[in-house]
Amino acid sequence: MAVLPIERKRVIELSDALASFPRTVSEILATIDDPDGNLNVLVGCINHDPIIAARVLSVANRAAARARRDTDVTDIYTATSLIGMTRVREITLISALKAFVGKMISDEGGVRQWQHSVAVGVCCEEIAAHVEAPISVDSSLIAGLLHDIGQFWFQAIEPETFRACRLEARARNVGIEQVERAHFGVDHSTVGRWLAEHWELPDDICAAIGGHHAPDSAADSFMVPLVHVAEVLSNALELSGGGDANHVSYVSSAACRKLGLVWGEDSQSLFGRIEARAQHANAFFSA
Amino acid sequence: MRTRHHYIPIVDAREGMVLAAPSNAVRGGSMSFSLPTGHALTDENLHQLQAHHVEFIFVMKPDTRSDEQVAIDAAMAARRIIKIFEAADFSDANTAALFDQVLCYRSA
Repeated sequence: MAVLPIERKRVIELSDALASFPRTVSEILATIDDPDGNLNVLVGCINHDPIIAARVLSVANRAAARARRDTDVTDIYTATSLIGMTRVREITLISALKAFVGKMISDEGGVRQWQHSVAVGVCCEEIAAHVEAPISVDSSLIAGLLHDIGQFWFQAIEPETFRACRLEARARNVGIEQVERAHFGVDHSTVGRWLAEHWELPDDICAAIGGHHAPDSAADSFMVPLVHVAEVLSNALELSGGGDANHVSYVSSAACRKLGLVWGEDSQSLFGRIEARAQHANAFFSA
Repeated sequence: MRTRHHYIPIVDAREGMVLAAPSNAVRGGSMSFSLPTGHALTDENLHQLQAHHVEFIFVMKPDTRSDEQVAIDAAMAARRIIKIFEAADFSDANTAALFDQVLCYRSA
């Protein structure tokens, strides 16, 4: 029986009814190339969100205790000088997106899916820092965190059908995108790209969300191959826990070539960094 | 003595731990702080690493497992990696190279 494909208009309407895309993420993205402006925007965003502020201050106070400071850290500027802007921005982005995606999660599978997203985000950051290709580390974190946003949408709107897709993909040992196309007429990459475009995310992030399962068709982009390789590595290293969901069928040679990534001896330290950071991030943000 | 290498967050680092790789802090594109491989961390180093916003370090720890246990662990790891890659096309050199590196990493 032919499936009537889900249309872009319906995806956008239902998404808008579900949750608003966090302004914090858009504001950080808008100032990503302006380090001075970025700090002020970042502090402004954090000061408006008590949960993010508490997380940042908690990390900063642990650092202060180790540095034997006598006074507590109570403001974000001091916290940033103690733990660094990169770390503060990472805490802010992951916290903001976790709160947003959390509104679409309805079962344990969704929790694991978010852990996978965090792992892929961390992988993207580490690969971006490892290779010489000109890729923004912050943009790559956001692309990794949001690469499967289409799956969260399916989960929120069609939870039973999506659960069946997951089970079928595992049973048949095929990619979930193939099963999604059979059930919904479109896959999560397409739904994710529609959402990213609707939220006016940068073109390279939209392309990465839409193309991470077909990296060979995005010859001009660095972000598409980055997210593809990060997801493959996340599965190969079982960064979001063991289980049947982790399988690797291929890693695109064109994607690795584009990134200048060669699997050799120095991959060992890259894997070590990725694994340690992914475990740490998932433990910290699940608290 | 046999050792194993681990990446650990700086909050878990302790005085006396030995670096398995250089620990470098980069600021503004240039190296602002560095400790070499084999260096045993002092209390002062822990403060320095933190002040330079180093988040993770690579340390070596004694491997107290027996030879038999090492072999068992390596075989279990290999079985798991083969399962993850069971649908992979190893005629593709890049996929095969990734498999080799993951296997080597998990067997260490």
